[in-house]
Amino acid sequence: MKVVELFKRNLPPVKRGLNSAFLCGSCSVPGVMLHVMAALLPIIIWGVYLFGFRVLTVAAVSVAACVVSEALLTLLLYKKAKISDLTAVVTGLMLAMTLPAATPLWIPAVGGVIAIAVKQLSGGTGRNFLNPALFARTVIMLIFGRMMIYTAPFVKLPLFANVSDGLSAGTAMGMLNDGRFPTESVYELLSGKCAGNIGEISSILILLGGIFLLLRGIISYRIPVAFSLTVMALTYLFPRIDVDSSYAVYSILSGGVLFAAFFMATDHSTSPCMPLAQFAYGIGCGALTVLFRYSGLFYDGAYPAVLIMNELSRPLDLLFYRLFGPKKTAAKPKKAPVAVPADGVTETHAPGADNAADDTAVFEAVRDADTKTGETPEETDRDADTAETAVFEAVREEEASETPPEEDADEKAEEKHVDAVPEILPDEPDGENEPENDLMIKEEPDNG
Amino acid sequence: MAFTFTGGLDLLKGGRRPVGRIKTLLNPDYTVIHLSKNRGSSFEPCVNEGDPVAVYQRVGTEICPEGEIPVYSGVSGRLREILKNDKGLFYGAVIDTDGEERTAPVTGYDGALSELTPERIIGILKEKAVPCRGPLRFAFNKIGVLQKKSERFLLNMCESEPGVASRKALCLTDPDAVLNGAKILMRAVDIRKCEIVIEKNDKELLKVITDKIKRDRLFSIVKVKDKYPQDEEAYVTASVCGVIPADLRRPDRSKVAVFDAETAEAAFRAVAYGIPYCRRIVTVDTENVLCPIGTPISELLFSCGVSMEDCRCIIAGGPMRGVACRSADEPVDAATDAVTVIYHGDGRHIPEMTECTSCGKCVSVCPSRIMPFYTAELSRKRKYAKCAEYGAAACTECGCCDYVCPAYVPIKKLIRTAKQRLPGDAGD
Repeated sequence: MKVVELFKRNLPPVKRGLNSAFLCGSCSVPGVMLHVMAALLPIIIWGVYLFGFRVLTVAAVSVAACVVSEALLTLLLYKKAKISDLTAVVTGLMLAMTLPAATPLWIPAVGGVIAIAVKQLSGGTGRNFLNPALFARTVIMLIFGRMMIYTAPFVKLPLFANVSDGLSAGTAMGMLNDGRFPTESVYELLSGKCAGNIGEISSILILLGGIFLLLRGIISYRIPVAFSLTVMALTYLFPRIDVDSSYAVYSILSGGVLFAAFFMATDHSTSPCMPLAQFAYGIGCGALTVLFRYSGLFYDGAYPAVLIMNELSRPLDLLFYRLFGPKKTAAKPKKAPVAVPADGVTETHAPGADNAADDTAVFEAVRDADTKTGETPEETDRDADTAETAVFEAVREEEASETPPEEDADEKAEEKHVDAVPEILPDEPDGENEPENDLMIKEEPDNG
Repeated sequence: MAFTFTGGLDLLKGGRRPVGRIKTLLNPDYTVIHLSKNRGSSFEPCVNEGDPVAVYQRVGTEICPEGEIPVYSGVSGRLREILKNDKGLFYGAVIDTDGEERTAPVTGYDGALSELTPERIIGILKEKAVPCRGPLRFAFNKIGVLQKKSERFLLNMCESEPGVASRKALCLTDPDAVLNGAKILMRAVDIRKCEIVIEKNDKELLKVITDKIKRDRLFSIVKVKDKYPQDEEAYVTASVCGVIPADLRRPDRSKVAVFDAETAEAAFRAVAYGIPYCRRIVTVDTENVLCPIGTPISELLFSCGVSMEDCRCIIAGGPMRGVACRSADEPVDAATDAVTVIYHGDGRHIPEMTECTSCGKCVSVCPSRIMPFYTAELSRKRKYAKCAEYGAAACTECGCCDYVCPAYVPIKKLIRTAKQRLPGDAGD
């Protein structure tokens, strides 16, 4: 019996993704998004109680605009449409939360399109460096700022028609901006019986939603705590109007600080994940919020502050990783190498002093090849392994052309050892292009 | 208070599975010695094809960067074939079993332990090919690095991967061999105090070991928290001493000698009876089986009554660290602590991967404190030099990041690819 036949009892095919850990937790992207929606639900219900069903209309228009433009844009950009991961729905909801209930309905529609456009054009889900809802909200604030009509609670609003300017009422944030002291009591601001954007009015419900997300492990406490504490500390130390110490309490309860801290600044793709970087990010958000509020260009400084800190999240991560991460290991071989002539012709590849020069040469070649292939556009390696194998082929060709033949043989011998059972496997159509140690099983017609 | 390390996962919420009786499978149909998994190794046979082979008989030499290590047969039978790759390099052998269990003569050392010099112990361990987990691969190699440079000696009895119980089974069935082996290893690295690291919820094992070491002042027990991946050398050091060793090739830098229970047991058999390393306990699905090294996994499954038709996937190793087998006839080697079976219709189906959302969950669970998602992203773009900069070499491939990833990105696989292609060959 030939040895090859020994290994012919094939297994049923395994999906490629299985070759990482074989257990997985219960957490998934749609699951995370559902948690966020659940945390937003009480806020929406409170909004309906205060402003009537127009709140639902605004939310529906915003979500619909996001979902439709996500579908269309992914189609245009030749990406896989993933409506089912619910990120577009959450973006739409978030946007609606930052708008007043009485806003004309075309505003959430335009905002939704802007949000998804910026998300898809800056890299798509997970790679966007700007919070899409916040970006849309800031654009709306800058361009259509006069369309924001705030009405007092329990004023009857039409479901679809535009709201006349006559119904508008002052908000606590607006008064703070004008340098006046808000007329609402702290209790009214906490429970949310006041005018304002849908998501910002009830501080208690925002805190409840945030605590729910904290307990479920969706967000970490560091960003919201650092953010709100910084705002409180700065407004306490440098109050704009000299009343009493309650200015700090008012400035955190009015406007969007709490909502931005718990729901916007903790957005996964646009916030840092190193613990210390999260503190720094939160502090930065808080400081910029106070700065923007005092400089007075925007209605509320919290959103542009988070938007600006978004760009800093990845650099902050990397900075804190470099400062406090594990120290780089000096990758030196432990012993002098043992180059063993195995059958008189080739040498088994062992890194070290004897063939150190050769090694560096090979690695230089690999590095060169890497830098060259690194220039391939992201889109090609985004998707699939076909592109990956193609580039690996390119790397190998370059190695072959740049290294002398013996080293090439060395390199190949090494790859042999990397592969787990290469010699005895039955022929696989493209398995030989797979450079990893992973064992994957391709589908074959005759299983069993 | 129990010691622990930062990061990691609590995977043993359902409690530990009790270790039953250990099955023995000493006569599989054939065994395969297969050395091509070991980077830079080749095989030099000293027995011809067709010659009879006995248990504990030397069949050849593994020539590897660590030196020339003898290879022994775990079964008695006939050498069917020496495996050769298309370049003409030998990489293994196939031995057919005849079931007679002929044994080659072995002689152990029967003097006092105090008269054994460390050099002699290293010699015996090398001659009997006693392995250890980690990049150093062999116990003699690790002792050589650690000799006179370490200050603490830890005996690792943790078993934290769900569904794996081979180490616990070994410690429960033969605690004397493990403890005596630890004494031999302590003598070799010249430390007179051994701390046994056991997880605090492992009551059964704690009781047995506490009874055994009652009157022995050499040993003490360190309780650590139940957490995956506590059973790896790096995290044993991290839990007990508070430092993650930067490079497992240089355990002397952290001045801690960590040896697994398997190594201690094998060292005891090698020194006391002269038995070379050729058998180990493997957890197969729900049972523990003692089998010769080189037993095909299909034979193991057959002996435990697992039908091949029911398997969707067979994993050499536990469900977190293991690697899917391409074929059911892959042999068991020294590092195979378990064979995990995923049945058809099993709930452990991993959904399709989506885009990484940079949520940072992998960062919060990573026990080696690197940024897994970022390294994986760089690896996907094939920027391997940058991966090294962000600590890919520190990854121990525990799979915690994969477990928590909500987007099901195969982070471990991507980092492993990067490690294999690191400039400077820091990976293993």
